[in-house]
Amino acid sequence: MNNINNLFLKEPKVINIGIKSFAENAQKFTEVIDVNWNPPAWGDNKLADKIAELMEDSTPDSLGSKIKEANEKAFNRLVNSKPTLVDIVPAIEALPGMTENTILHAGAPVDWKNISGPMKGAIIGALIYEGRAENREEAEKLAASGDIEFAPCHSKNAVGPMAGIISPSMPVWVVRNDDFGNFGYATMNEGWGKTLRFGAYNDNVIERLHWMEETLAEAMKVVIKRLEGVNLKSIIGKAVQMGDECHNRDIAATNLFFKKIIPELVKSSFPADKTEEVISFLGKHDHFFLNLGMAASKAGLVAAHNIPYSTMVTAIARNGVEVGIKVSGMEDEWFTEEAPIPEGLYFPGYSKKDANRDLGDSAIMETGGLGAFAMASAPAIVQFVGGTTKDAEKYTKEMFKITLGKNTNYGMPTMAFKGVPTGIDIIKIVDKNILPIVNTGIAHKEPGHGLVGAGVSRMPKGCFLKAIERFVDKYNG
Amino acid sequence: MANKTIIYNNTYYDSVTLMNISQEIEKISGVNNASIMMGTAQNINILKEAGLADEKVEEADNSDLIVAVEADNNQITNKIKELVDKKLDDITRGQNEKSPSEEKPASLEEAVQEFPESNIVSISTPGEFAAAEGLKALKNDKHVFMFSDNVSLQSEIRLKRYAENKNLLMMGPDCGTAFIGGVPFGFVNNVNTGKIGMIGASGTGIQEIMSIIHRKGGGFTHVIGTGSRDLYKEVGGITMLNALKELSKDRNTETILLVSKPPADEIADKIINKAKNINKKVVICFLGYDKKIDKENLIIVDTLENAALAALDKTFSKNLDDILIDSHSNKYIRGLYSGGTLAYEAYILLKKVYPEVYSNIALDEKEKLSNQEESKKNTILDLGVDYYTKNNPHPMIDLSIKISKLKEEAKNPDVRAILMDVVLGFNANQEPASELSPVIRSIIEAEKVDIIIDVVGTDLDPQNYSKQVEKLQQAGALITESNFGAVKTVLKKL
Repeated sequence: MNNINNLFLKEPKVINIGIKSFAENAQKFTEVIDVNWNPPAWGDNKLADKIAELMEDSTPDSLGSKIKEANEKAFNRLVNSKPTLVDIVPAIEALPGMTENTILHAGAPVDWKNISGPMKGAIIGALIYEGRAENREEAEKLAASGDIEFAPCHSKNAVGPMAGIISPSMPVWVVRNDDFGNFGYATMNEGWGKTLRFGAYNDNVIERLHWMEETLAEAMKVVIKRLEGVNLKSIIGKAVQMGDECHNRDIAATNLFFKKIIPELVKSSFPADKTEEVISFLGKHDHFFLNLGMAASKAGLVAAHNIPYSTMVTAIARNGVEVGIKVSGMEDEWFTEEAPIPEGLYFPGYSKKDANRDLGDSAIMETGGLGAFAMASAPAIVQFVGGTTKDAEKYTKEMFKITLGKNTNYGMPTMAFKGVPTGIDIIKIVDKNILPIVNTGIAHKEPGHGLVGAGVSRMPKGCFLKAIERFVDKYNG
Repeated sequence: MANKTIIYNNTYYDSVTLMNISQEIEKISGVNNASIMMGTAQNINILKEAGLADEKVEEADNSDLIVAVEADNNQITNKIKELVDKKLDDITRGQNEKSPSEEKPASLEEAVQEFPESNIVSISTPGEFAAAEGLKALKNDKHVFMFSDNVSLQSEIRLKRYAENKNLLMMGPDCGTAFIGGVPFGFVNNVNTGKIGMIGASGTGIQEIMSIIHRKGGGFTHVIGTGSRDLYKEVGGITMLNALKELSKDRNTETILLVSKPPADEIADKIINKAKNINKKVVICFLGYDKKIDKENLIIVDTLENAALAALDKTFSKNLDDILIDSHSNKYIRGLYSGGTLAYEAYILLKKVYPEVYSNIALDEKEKLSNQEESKKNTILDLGVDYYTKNNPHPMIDLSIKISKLKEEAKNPDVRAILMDVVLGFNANQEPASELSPVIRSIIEAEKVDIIIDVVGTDLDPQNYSKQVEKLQQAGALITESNFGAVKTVLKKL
């Protein structure tokens, strides 16, 4: 314990913030660390004061100590979560409060009239798939009529990549968080290119959705039953060691999942012709695991949500118009800000001009410590973040500065098996002026086109500033 | 318009690498369209449909790399070929790996993680951010030296009470000087270690005493600055009282010295009451505090020099009235100070002689200069006040304001003598005598004016006291051992 008497007896060891020559002069007499200081809170000194009040404090019963304890609890619940795939069932059966007229979407709540192009396309496709409309015109009319109830996937503990549309008949993965008893849900991933989640709704897209419902989901149900559940945590852990960050790169996780389920499918009485279809679909599909990872991440974050005084982020989600975040100690409030257009690499013929604003619930991967946060472990896709493995490492190191700890279940071989940076803290974000980064796909801004590129996106600071202000009002008002 | 298709045989790169390269190509001006992809049948079709590729493309197969560009002229297409060659070369050789740059911590939290053994944080950020950094430091159980000023009184009280609860030392805000266990903080002189501990709500007051004690052979355990407002009624002397309690228990400290500009009376009384009950010799110099208290081991003095002498058990004259005598001259004295406490000491000493002394820091409103650019009669100027430092560095660092004032005052035929300080030590101007000497020399040659200087410093200071004094003497200045000495000398000169 440091006290004045100790200072008098021992040599001062100095941290210098500010004038450099102070550090240089003290350095001639003792050990000094000079901080490369920048004004915190993006230069808002009043907010900097508020942040300092919230910071960790050893004084018992102080606000700082309550926040610290709450954050430890939230972090521990997240990293101790054991997501297990236990079933696949139609959304209307799995999700509480889901009706025939419910359509779930990515991100925070958004009105039909403000909805982004790709999300609009995906809703059109979902209504056609559900048999509620024959074509785009009918679907748009129905969507605008008020008969369809739109809600965020997150409101039902579900998550959906990109547009994230979940309609009542779509099968959803049911992921149970074993020790905590809560669930996370997601649809199955359709593949790459022109797909519903990127806003495409042509006949191929609709046909594929029907096949997934009638054949793929049935096959998955058979294998899950035979395996008595699939431990997703262990697949993610291995995949990180095999070079996946489990968001933009899921090839290892997908292969591990494939390896686990295919023998069971082949051994089962599932029809041989359909088995062949399933194998051939999964065999061509490098991202199939993404949605399972997302449901797993969501299941862990649900367990960490609703802990009073916690400043840990429990959801980051983009609806194509705004980025929204949730904070553990702030109940179900969304804190939103206009979504950025991702920085990325575009397929030939497309450019940033065609890109929609950032979209999708898949940022749940970063919220859970994976994706861009684990970039150092995914050298194969480092070119999305600027081209070199050093850049990737830099991103991961930067994310350590805004997270509560390391998830040692997911060790990164390239970083001496250090655990991934986990548990985004809004206090650290504002104190250090560092915004979370998210790996992402890029959708065309008009309905019907699909995927145009992939890249990274910095979450806008407005979400975190709003969350901090509200947190202060609530707990230090 | 020029179209060009380049084929690299048996050259495979993944699509991400290739998208990266095509982005680079598109940045070149004069390029209308560019695509770089592997020669699969599907890709060849895309290129043909886009009208980008010529018939050569048909020769390519799966393992060949195709670069297809549409540019303004052939020169540009050649440039693209060079760029692609270089990029592919870089990737093959891994040359685009940047070397790791040394990373400094960018926040207090990172610094604490990197250096957990640290025990004190020195803060000199802009004032509006200092309180937040200070609170974070205290929360991390670190003592604080806060040089920053412009921190609200409310924040100061909050920080000091918080520190008190954790038994941490909160020096400042607006704390210019400290010297803890031989380590310098802020503007401070380098002195020997010894048996004296000092606590001061005054930067240059501390420096003056430290320097005199060092030059007379004494030394210090710790010198603790409290910040300029610690003895305000609102703050209540929190830091001075806590530091006093701890120094009284510190086994290496035999004598305690307290120094301050005029404190609130009730705070001064409170501190003196505490000091009375300490079993060590305590010397107190609260400039402008007039009460006389008689108690063994408690010595109250009127000047900074006397404080130094008392701490060293040396004799000094207590009765200032015998020393400070009005010479009834019709000429005037001008004081040009970079140290606020030194300016204040000169002002109150001259007040004992003259009924009116003007100053920008006068306590009496009648004596306050309405215009800081117009000295009146006997005038003492503190050149470290906001008026002068708003757009310029502090005069301890940058002598230009002092020099221009010196030239201006010396020209005034009513001025007979100029009093000045030159403050040495860490972070102060590195060669003050070299900057001042030519100015002083030309004044002495041209005007009938004396320049009397208190040089605050030691031979251990980076500037070297003896060297600076010698240079100033050679230029014709009179150098005194103390600010009090300078005032005495100036009165004799009149």
